[in-house]
Amino acid sequence: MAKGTIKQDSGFGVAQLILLVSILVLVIFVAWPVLLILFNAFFVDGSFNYRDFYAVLTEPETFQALKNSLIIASMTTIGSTIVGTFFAWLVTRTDLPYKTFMKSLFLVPFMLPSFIGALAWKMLLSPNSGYINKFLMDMFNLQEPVFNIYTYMGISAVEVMYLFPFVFIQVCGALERMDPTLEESARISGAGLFTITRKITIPLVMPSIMSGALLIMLYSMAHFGTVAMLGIEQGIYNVPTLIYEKIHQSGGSFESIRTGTVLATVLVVSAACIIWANQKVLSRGHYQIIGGKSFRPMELKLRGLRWPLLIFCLAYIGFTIVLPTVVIFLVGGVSTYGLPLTWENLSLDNYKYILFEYDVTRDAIFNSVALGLAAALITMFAGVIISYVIVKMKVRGKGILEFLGMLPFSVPGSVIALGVILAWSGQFGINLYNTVWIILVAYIARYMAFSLKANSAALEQVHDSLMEASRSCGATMWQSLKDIVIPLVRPGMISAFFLIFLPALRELTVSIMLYAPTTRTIGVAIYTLNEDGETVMSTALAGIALILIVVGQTLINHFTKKAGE
Amino acid sequence: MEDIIKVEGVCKAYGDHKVHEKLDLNIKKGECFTLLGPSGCGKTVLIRLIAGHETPDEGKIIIDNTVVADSATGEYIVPERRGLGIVFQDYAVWPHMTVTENVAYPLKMEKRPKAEIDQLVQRMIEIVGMKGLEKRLPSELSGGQQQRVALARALVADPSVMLLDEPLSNLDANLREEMRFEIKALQRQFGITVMYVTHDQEVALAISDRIGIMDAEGKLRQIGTPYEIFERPADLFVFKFMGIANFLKANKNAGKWCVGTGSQEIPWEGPTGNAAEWVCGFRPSDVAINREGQGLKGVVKRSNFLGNTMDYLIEIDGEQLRTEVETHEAITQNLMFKEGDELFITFRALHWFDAAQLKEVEEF
Ligand SMILES: Nc1ncnc2c1ncn2[C@@H]1O[C@H](COP(=O)(O)OP(=O)(O)OP(=O)(O)O)[C@@H](O)[C@H]1O
Ligand SMILES: [Mg+2]
Repeated sequence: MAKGTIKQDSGFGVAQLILLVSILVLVIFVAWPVLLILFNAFFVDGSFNYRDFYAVLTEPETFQALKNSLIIASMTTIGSTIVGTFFAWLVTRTDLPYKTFMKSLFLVPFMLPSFIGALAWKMLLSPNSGYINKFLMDMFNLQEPVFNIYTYMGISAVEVMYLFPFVFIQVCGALERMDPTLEESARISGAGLFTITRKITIPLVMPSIMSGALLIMLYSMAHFGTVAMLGIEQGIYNVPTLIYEKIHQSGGSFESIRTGTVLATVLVVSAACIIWANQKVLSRGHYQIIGGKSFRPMELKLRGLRWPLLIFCLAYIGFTIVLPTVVIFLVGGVSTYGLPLTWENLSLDNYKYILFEYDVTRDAIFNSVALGLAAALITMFAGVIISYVIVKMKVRGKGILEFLGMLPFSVPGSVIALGVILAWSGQFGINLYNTVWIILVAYIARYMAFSLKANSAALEQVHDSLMEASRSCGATMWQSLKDIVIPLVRPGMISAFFLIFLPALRELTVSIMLYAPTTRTIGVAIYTLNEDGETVMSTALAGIALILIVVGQTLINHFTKKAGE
Repeated sequence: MEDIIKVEGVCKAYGDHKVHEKLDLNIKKGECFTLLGPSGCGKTVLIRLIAGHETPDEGKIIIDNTVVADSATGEYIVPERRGLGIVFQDYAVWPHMTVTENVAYPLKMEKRPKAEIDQLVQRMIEIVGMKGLEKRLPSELSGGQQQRVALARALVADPSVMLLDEPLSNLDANLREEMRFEIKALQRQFGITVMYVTHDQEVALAISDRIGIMDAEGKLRQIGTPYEIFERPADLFVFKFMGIANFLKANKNAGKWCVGTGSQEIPWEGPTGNAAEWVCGFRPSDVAINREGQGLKGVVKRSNFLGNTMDYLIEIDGEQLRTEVETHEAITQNLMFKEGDELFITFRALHWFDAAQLKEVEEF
């Protein structure tokens, strides 16, 4: 006789439980720290006080930082948009030689953390000791240095070098996916290439350009590394660096925390505005572009400019990527900063020293790798469960989860760090301050959104009926997750892992606010060693970091290619 | 016999779209029940409700005397505890598992011994004709082959109730016939209750003990044995859904029912009831034609040779109908007509329907 009979139900709402736990995790790790910031910014002694908020905001120092953030972000955005759009157009819409190769070459700047780039440019272009400045002064017998990197212009230029791929990727994508019939029909009706570009192409890719520009704006406003490396010495602070300075110097006094929270609030609000604007822009541009399909777009014949433009592109890469990298490795090889970079002066001693003997750097490498692994693993698993609730489960209240999940996207790193300090330094019973755990907690908050995004994308591909089929075959929800869902989203999980591990490895903004003497990360060690005048050690460590990043990136490419097969 | 599945007053809506309203349905233990209805009428939704992948907004579902979902009390039993075997409309075979692993999964969930699993899986794979393909992944199978894996997976653990959502839609005619006998045989052999969803009325007539006809609004128009459904359709919708149908408008002329606006009396008992207007319906196979003699006089408008049968379009007093005669019979009985030929028509079966229904059916 048939065996399947109905078993009595335990009447236990697993779905509700998971939802509740997911919400709790996101609230504790993400929402609560942010709420604490808002609370501290607006409430003084337990009562609402916006006047105080305004007062802090208009202090000369804070006001200047706000202005600086805006100036640097605007310049960076404009620069990156021009550079990114130009190169995107070159590699998609012209007959530039070696286009595919050049396209991948323009993504390389993503691999170079901008604070390491800033460190290199500091050594190349600082007014007094920069190698290029010295070279030019010797060469032409000048009394004054030619370049000064410690300026708005210098800071923005360095940011542009390492941020323009944001625009580049967006615009490349739009140009590649654009419906060719739109252009073709314009051509048939007799329009010239210039008219088509102006009337059809540009309006169509404008949303993507705008969206890339807004992303850079968001990033640059909240960007710590470059400004810290190049600005602080000259008293140029932006919002994140001022928050850092306040918290760092005053050892967490009430006044500084308050200033920090007020500045952080401004960051959060502007980030929210930017993200909102971005959503608007993207939703308007969507219907015009055909998704997914590749086609052969109309190409502009560069004719005589083909090779000169290729050389220009290569020179750009050489100047912005190769030169700084080479300088990092060379300076990392000399015994004292300032020695001429000649063959006799170079050795591997520094590298050996920082890898095997010097506590600070050894610890830093260990900390970064351990933190990166832990954060990546935890957020990967938490992310898959939470995105499962968001994408697949039909329970009421998952809207909250969606909102909470997207929150970290709009919360800059320094804000998260400040929030974590407020939440986890003992006021609420748990004190993680000065331990490595507080950095881990902050990393989880910061990278959860990455994991949610990668995992949601993977889960969308897993049709509901696959899970329903296993449930009807007698598997419990957990069993089905284990047997069906997890194996199918594994590629997404792996990519989430690397999406978190690699940025965590090079992280500076968050850990700089949270480190203690024994809990430096690679980024913190590079930064603090440089600040303490140990330039060669700092640079050698930066070299090691670059090697780690390249190896990691190679692994990602390997895995994602495998997953795609 | 006792009811194994009871659907009582179930309502289900997605947003504003009410798929089911106050639906009642009972399925008897051990029977093969077929749910027949046009695309989008809510068949899959009903299956999902019974299987527990959806919960009813209102109403109650009872399986084997256990309430599995009740909107009033909030009772809900999870799918894995309902003991059902399901074939999903989109197969839902797991893309990361081989054919064997897919089929073995329900048995693994029951923690059966390995040897038994192997043996049962092997048998089931043979039954569905997938021998030799055991090691393949679904991506290496055709749509029909995937469907057979889904069927094997649903059958392998001998569930007491099977819900089959278009399980044969992607198979070729031969295989479909074979599989439908297989399903029927398994159902008889093990006394399984089968709820079979399809819009193929031929399959429905062939395998069902009872058939339910659902209309586009999700309302059950008639439930009955294949014979009842075919011979005594409750209304015009059911009649039309069960195959090609002819309808002749009728008018009452001096107490007699005549075709169209003419004065030839329809050679069948008149309707009883009080509809404003009537139509009579009949299948092409229920029409008998003659060169001369009794019946309605008509003219052949079009004559089609279809191989086995001759297909005629006939006009009677402004109304048209289609009929078919076996080619062999047509030749021996002198029933090969050309366009323009006159003939006489009688009926073997005829149903009266409210003419208002015709409009409603034609609309959709
Ligand atoms: N999850 C859902 N969300 C919103 N609407 C749905 C959902 N599932 C089904 N519907 C709607 O309910 C109606 C019935 O769908 P259902 O899948 O049951 O049709 P069906 O009878 O199985 O049709 P077919 O024969 O084509 O499979 C359709 O109009 C469909 O759009
Ligand atoms: Mg269906």
